[in-house]
Amino acid sequence: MTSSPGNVLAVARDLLREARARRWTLALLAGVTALLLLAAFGLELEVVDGALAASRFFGRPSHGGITAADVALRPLFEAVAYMVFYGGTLFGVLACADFAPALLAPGRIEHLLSLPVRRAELVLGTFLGVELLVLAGAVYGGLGLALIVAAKTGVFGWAPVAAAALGAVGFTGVYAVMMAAAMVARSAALSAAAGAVVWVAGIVAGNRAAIAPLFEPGLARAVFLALTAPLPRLSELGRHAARVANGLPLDPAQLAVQAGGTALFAAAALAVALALFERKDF
Amino acid sequence: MTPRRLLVAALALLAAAALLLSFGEREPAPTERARVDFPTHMREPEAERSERRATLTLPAPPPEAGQPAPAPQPRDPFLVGLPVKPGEPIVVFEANALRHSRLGELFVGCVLARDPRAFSGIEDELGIDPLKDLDRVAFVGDAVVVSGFFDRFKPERLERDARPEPHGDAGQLWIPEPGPEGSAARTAFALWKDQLLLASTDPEDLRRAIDQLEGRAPVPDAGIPEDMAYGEVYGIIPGAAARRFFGSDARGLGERLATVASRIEVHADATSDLAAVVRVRGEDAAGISDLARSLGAALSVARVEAQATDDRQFAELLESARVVDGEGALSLELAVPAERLEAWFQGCGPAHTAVAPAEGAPGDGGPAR
Amino acid sequence: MLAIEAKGLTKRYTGAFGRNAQDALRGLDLAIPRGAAFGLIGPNGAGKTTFVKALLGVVHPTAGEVRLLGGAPSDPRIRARVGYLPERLRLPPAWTPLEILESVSRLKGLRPRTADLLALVEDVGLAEAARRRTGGFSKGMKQRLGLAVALLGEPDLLVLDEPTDGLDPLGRVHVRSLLARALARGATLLLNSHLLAETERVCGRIGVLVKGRIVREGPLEALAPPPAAWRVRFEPGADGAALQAAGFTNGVAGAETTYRFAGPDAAALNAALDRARAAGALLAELSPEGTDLEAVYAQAVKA
Repeated sequence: MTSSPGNVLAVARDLLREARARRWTLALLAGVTALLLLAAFGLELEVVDGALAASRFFGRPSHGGITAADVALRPLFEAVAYMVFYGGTLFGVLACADFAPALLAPGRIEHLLSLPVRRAELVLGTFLGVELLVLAGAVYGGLGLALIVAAKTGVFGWAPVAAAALGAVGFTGVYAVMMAAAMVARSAALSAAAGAVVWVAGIVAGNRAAIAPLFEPGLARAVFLALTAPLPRLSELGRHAARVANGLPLDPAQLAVQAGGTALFAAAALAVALALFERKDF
Repeated sequence: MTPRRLLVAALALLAAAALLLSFGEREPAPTERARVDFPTHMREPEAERSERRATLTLPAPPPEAGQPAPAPQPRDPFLVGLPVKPGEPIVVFEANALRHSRLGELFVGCVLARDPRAFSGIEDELGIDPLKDLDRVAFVGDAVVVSGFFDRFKPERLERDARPEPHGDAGQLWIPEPGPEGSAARTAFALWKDQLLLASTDPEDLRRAIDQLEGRAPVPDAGIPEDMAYGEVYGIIPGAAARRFFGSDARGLGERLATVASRIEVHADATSDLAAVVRVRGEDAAGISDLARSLGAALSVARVEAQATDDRQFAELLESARVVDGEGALSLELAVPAERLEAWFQGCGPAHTAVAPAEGAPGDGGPAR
Repeated sequence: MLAIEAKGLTKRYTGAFGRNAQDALRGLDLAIPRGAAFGLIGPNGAGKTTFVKALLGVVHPTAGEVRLLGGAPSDPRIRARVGYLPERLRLPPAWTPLEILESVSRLKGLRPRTADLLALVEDVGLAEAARRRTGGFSKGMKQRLGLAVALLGEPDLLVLDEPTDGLDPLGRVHVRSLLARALARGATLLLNSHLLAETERVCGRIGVLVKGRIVREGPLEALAPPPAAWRVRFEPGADGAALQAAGFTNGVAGAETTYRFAGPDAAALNAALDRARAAGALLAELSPEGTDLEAVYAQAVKA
């Protein structure tokens, strides 16, 4: 019999194969491709000997000076980084809401549970497969944009790819909650709604220091801080990607805190999902 | 693991996440580099400084026929007294303001660390404390004009080699005897009202400067007007003179600049970041645009080369370099953020915190001391 | 050694806040020996599917104990030796049969060659559709594929829920042959089917599940009552009067060649058949009345 990690990987692989054949996934990837084509044909960048002479988007100047190409492209890379980060995580919420409910579909789950696969392996394998799918989609979009800009300007920026990786990290927290929601009720809509709530809450949590003063000091503020304390700091992870775009150094300690906290949150949500799944009759 | 244990584990993990994120996180680090404030126009403190300095009232020019006599406009004696020659560059350093800027503090600290008597030697010899008595220094071609407090000036050193000669109402010249034929021209000095100290190899420059100050000679239009006196460094370089500033490896660029540019203005601000703007004006708009692109390319290439050769200081200088092209002029912007300046001077002398000059103290346009 | 052993197996379903409790299984006891072909029959809602799911760990029993092949159903090593066909199998529609079998092989820890998988696909009658997406399959084709999945790796225990559902008569014959082959190599079969004739033909042991309990269980012959009469069909052309004289009566309207012999006595029946043959009649078919599975089922449910 295959080992546990092997079963997890086998479940993940099957999920990716299934995703490849889904029309919804293909439609979303087609959308990303369309955006890439738009950038490829719409972004008009004139580069002279390594300097960015002018930049135009749809024929209109968007940059008023001549500067080194990589410096001039920082705002563009920052915008792309944010787009890949937030777009990638949202893509995940929309594209992957159905995977956990489909796993639990009558006729399918009985068959899977009769196989020599532990329930935990099914959950973890589905989680891993979705994470890889989202990472692949985000890297596709991010790397695609980075390559398009590189082809036009000779400047390759890692910011979009970094944003894709950070987006996948942030998405672990979001999807773990989506899985737990699917265990409560087998519904893609509920799963997507849970994901959207965590997505928004994660953005708020990343700005909690700035938002907290908006609450009355005392109970209200304390409740806000307590509720947002364990949430993944999605907007802060996005800001790390922006720093890469602007050529600023990353703070490894802070990145480790954000990523570690997100991982702990995701593990907590997965533990809830597992607990619900273990007790469930099908 | 039983479902109950899983739920307990979930709670523990959630608590761990809350602890790590709440106590481990710091203030969000900025995502953009700090914006540099480039000296592109005269700001209010500089305008007030300029007003305070306008203490010289020259006779008004004769009115046009049938027109009433215009009111005499007060002028800045330092700018009036510049011995400007057509085709010669003029660069002014606000020495006192620079002394109290971040860059100045770092520079002075570094110099004193290497030679504690670097500045006191000058005071002993000439009676001028460079760190306290100087306000502004201008380089006009081969001439130098210094404003400040020179009431303790010791002319004895000059009188060893030169004969004193009064000129005008308040001027005093020290003109050296000519040297042997073929030898380099000797420097003549002039002092006007204990405020301005001038030096030049051509004594006629000094006489003309004093005449300008006392209304006996017209003030050249090619000088620096008061509304251009902003920044800690400012100046005008005629286009033809620009080629002098380019070395052999950039001679082509220098020639193009000399051909296209009629006038080049320079402004630099060193109050916190070191930011410079070089504005090139010319009649040929297409030539200016073309030059803008070439300059942009040259800067970019220079930055790449600096990065490749690990010349970090130069690369950092070019980090924010930008060429803005428009309306028959181009502006070249260069900057070094304040924290980079600190890094540049790290290890050279004690760290000082720049202190803004107090009211009436040197640096605000009033008399030094 | 037992393939399946259930003791006091109970499953209670409750609604929200523990209300509306329903007992699907009530202390069910069952022991199925290895190598047996066991048919589980019962009315709708008897708990057959719940029992099958409890065997495999798909539902958690409220009380009682279940052992499969000597081990716990929760042990993946035990489940690796089980082949299961659920009542309504749903497989990824975008996959081909070959891809589905490959996926299940991986999860079962098997490493079959593609040729072996193709042979299995051919065995279940899907050779021409081996590389077609299952989304376009008919119900019968999906059922065949489900059977292939269950047979993958020659499991020691086959648990099949309505395996011939959606199949035409030839398909059902084919399935029976596959099951016979599995039984011949020593596999144990648990068959849950509404089709009593199919169950009767395949299974040697029967269990009747009513209201969560096994009410009758054992070999079919032991469960069936003695025949009240015999149904006899002769070849056309037999002398009706001679047959009646021999002791046969016309029992079936509209079937002139079918007669009835009352009484369970086999010796008397044989004597009557001898007399009929002596009168020139040729026996075509002989079957007992009231001893088939339907009778067993009806009796057990009414009890």
